[in-house]
Amino acid sequence: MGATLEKIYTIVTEKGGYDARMNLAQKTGIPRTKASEMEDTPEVINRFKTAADEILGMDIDQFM
Amino acid sequence: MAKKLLLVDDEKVFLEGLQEGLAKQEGIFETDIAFSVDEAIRKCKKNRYNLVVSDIRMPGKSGLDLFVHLRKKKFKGDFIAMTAYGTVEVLNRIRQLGGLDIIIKPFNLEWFTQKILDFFVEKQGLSGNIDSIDITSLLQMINLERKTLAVRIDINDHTGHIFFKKGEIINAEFGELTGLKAAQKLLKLNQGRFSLEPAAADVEHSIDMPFMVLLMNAMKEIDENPIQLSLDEIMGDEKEKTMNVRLLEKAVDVLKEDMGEGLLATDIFGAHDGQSLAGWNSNPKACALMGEITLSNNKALKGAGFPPLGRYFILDLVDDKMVVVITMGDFLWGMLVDTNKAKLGLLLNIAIPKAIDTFEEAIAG
Repeated sequence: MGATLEKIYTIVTEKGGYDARMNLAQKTGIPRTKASEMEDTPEVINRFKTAADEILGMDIDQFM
Repeated sequence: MAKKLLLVDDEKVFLEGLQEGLAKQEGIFETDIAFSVDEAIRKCKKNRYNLVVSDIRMPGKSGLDLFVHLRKKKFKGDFIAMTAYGTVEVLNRIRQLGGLDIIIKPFNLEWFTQKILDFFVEKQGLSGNIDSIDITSLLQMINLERKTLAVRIDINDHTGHIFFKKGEIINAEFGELTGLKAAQKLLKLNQGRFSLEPAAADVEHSIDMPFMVLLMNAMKEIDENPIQLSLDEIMGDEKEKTMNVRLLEKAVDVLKEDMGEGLLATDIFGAHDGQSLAGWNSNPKACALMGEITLSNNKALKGAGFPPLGRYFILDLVDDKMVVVITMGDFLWGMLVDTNKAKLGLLLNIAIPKAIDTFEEAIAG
């Protein structure tokens, strides 16, 4: 459950530190603990990727 | 509207120095100079001055002659005398003429500027537009001169006050905000009207952060966001940062539980204002200092073309103490740790990740 969302959180934290991670939590409204328990629906994944791209300034798909 | 000031003295270099010094207060004072009484009289005919400050002893006509003339002509402004030869007789004569004060020479520029500022505050209610003056210079002067007064700021339908006591900001109010948050908002304003008011006696002392730290943080935020902030944006970021305080306190509890006696103090605080949102054994000065260190480190790293600070940085202090600062966007989490009682590995790999998860729940709203 939520493996993709959790992976996005991990990449964002690795690339941008906690700054970026907190930003992701704020933008999506979903903290990492909750994300790991959620279902990886295409809609939510897309929302997370869009937010991650904006935060990191790069395409997160290259790290997935 | 700036107050119009006429300085009269036959010592050209001295007078030009005063005028140049007061020019830094552009928007507060408009300073004109005259090197003789006759020149001053001519200028007073053409201009409306709020205050004339004149030397007494000058070749030909004296400053007293000028004041007598101005009184006869029903001059609407006030006047102050300055002299290196102040005597009771001269002071009495000036008082008889309605002069307000006598300034004994020599004096330094800062003292003189403050004297004039005091005069306008007490007698004429100094005011001006924030966008036309260097408001920071005015506030710094209040700080340097350890003044006790209130700065009122009006912008659109909002009114704010910054309360100074002996040069330090002790409280502020702006709309529904009070204390530190109100002061931080007011210091970032770049429009509106200000006026200086006498200090009220019953203002509560609710801000402990040193004036210079407050001002520098506000200036940094403005430097980093050079686009002029509208009032809505300044008031609005309050809402954006609203978090679940109960969850923040829970995050602190999680850390305390994991670190046990190894944790000496901790605070979660704003990166730019140093204000603590949750903590244990809180230390406002430490919050301000860590905020300052974080900002300056990031600025230095950026300036040198290095990546910014990562997830945290550690300061190894003497006496078996360690400070860990976690950077979390607009917030910082500082921890003072006893290295004899806490293991760094436990802190970084277990305690902090758990506490961060809890913090994140709060910030996700």
